Amino acid sequence: MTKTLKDYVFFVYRCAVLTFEGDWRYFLWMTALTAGALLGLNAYCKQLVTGLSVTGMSDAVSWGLYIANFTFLVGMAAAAVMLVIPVYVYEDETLNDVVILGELLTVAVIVMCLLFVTVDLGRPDRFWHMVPFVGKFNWPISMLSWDVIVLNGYLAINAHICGYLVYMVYLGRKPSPYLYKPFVFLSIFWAISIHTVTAFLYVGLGGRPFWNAAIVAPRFLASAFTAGPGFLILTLRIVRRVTAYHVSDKALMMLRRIVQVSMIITVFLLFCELFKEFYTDSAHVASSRYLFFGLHGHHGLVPWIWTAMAFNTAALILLLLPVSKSLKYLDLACILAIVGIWIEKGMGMVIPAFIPTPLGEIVEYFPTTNEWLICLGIWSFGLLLYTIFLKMTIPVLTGALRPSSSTRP
Amino acid sequence: MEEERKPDESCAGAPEGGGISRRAFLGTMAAGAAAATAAALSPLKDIADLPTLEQFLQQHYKELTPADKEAILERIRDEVQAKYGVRPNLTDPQPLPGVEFGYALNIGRCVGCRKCVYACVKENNQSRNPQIQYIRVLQMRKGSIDVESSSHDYEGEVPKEGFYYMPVQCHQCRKAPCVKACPVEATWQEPDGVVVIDYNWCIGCRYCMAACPYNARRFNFAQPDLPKEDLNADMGYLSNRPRPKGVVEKCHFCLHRARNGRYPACVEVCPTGSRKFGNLLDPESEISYILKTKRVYVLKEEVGTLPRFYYYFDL
Amino acid sequence: MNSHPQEPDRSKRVPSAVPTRAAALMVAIFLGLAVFFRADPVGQGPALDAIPPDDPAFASTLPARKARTEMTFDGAPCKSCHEGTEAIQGSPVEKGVFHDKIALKHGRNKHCFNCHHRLQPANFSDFDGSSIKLADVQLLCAKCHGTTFRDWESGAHGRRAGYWDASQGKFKTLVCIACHDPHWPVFKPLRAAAAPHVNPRTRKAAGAPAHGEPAEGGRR
Repeated sequence: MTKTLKDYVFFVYRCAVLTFEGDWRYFLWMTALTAGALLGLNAYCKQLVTGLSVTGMSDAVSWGLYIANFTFLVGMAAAAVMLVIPVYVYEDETLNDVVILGELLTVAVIVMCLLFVTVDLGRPDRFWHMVPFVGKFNWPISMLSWDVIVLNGYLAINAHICGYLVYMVYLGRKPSPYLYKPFVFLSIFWAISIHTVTAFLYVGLGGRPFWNAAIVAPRFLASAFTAGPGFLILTLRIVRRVTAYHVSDKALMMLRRIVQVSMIITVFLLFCELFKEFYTDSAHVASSRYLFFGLHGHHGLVPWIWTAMAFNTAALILLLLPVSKSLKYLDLACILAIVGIWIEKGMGMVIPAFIPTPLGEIVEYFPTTNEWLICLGIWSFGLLLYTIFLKMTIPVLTGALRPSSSTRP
Repeated sequence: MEEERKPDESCAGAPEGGGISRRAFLGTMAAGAAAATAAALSPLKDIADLPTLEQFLQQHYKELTPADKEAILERIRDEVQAKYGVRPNLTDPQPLPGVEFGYALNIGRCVGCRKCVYACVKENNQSRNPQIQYIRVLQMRKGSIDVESSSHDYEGEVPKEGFYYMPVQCHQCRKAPCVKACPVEATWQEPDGVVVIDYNWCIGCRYCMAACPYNARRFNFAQPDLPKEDLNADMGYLSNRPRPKGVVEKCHFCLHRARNGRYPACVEVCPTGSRKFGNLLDPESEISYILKTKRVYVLKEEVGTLPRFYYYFDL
Repeated sequence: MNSHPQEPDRSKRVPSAVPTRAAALMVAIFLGLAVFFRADPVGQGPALDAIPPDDPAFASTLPARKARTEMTFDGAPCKSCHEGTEAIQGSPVEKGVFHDKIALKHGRNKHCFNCHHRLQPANFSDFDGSSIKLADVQLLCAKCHGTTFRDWESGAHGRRAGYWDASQGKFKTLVCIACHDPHWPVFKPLRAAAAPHVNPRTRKAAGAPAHGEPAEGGRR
């Protein structure tokens, strides 16, 4: 047992050493990401000292950019399941080579999610109050306690699957199905549940009609399955260009179909929601009206949401047309879809529920520079993490790193 | 690992293409990154409210033994004395048996003068800047109960023609969404119906604020600022002791007064006598009388929170 | 997952050394960052707004008016003018002295002796001509405002202070005329205490109609 552990640690060490290898472009990329992460760290230090008053949040709009990013990223994390299902359930070979990259993305993204929740806390020093059995965990009543469990659980499951499978490739052994298959199937169930639980976080609040709609969870899943695989397409395009790892066009086209179908569903569900809101035109439409058209002369989110609508529509059209079989247009469609969904599901989902307040007051929310910097920091750190994961894994997957090979093949 | 590092050293001697060697490069980068990190962390030197080990390890209110609690009360007395120069009368009054608090507000009498707002601020040691107020008075159009057409920032002489006034504060709901939301049980409902917050347990996630249909909860976005001379030294642990930065607070029916048999500050200050308070379980109390004889409604009944805060009218 | 063993890794083909210019750029990024953090041009974010200190009058528990304890007019007791031997007649306005400045706006109750006693000017008058003392003024008001009197007795009307719990202490209440001017019982308008402070950053929309007064009236 200790021998196995020692070998495994040595394996991780050898992979880690690889992250110090690369040409200047790689180092510049890493430097840029580190710089971004440090900008965030610096802004967060200021937030720690001064308090959340460095943000644009208020008693009226008590959640902002942090929770918006969190919501979007939980979706990205859940999206790996769209690769896992074809590969492990249908045993479709097409995505075989890329599924592990999707799972690695999940790990990095969940770390980002956890960071976004942490920076949103007023008392991060009291994090231990949330640790089951140590603190006082309001489970199963509080949806947030469910979120803590599903996020950390999903992180652990994916870390295990990635670590184990990559290690087996390294050793040249066939992975034992008992050690990963149950986890893979668990992860499918779990992926759906992390995003559902995140949706329920909002849906369960009767005092916020904008969120209190059953369609939120399905919308979350559909948009997640658009943005996540879309992001993966972009990643794979880069991986294909800068590493020796083979990513087939067929795999990219398979991902395109996933993004395509999910995008259609996303737009359809969005349409359903908009119809219900605006056709009914009850008092509860105020938040949606604020979001899309502004309310009583306040238009803070209007440019954002119409950008998102334009991007989503453009992405949908591109994805429906055969032109997106060309990788360049596919890239464009993915970028548009990701940005569109990031706005719509982040700012567009979180902020309007607070405007107007339950007492009818309109207090708008404008993120501050420090807030943007913290978000930039977490995104940079997440990308840094994902780059490191890829840098560690790809030489193993290509066969360049084996127990017998020297560290620098 | 030394032998595996060899290739590094071999190229250290012969950099190609006019570049610098990998080893020198990594070293420089590490130094640069370290310098930048140190600079990034520099704001931390100004941190003033780092929790002491005792504060950090303090258990949840419900887990405290009487001895623990007394030690904590003593510690807070010391902290308050050090900061405000007054030794507070800090206690932890317990719920009274056979008492469930209820509140009624005469919507026909309220003139919207906001005295309750400031009596509350004074009684409960709220931060003055950033400003925290538990009570929000809505100026409503006559003929409408839609809060969206209300004004919160009216000024000058009141009552104004064509308007009526509806103050809102924590409704101490029987089915409190905030209590359900809290991931760490830092807010809960006491046997006398008051929803309280353990300011030393709240993690500041603000999920309760998102959950509250009455916008009754306030967050300490910065270190609360309370002038020394404005401190109310009569304090309760779960009510008006000074709060730290980064936690949520709200109306608690002046727990330190109510549990000692007294009326909340907002009741005593109201110049029109629109505010009524008492024991719902006592059939003789004024609150029971109002519920029996007046036309009573609760705000946002459709949300199903079952508030203990009622609005009534008799005009 | 491992279908391409031993394929040479392109990224490893590049020389191990790093071009000086690229290295310099990266170091410059870090040093620039360090300088940026030291200079801190972003600062702590929005500064606190100036909020004037709360006026102590905002939280004053004083009643709306000062209730008298003795029946006087301009400081002089009633009996200094009214002997109390014969019933007072007529209206003071007609007589043009002393009481003509009294502004009487008490609904249909327009006659002095609906309340004041004709013979005993320091007392009030009950239905049957018997007197009501100033200390029992609520009984006078109860003549017309029976339901309000009942509410006052039960605590639903009027102010209370002190103890809600009779077992721990007494409550104090105020009589009708401590708040209502008997000649003009409707409350005079008060000056509202300061409105809640609103962070100006959250009200960026220039030219937005004042909140609560939607341009087209009503919601939306």
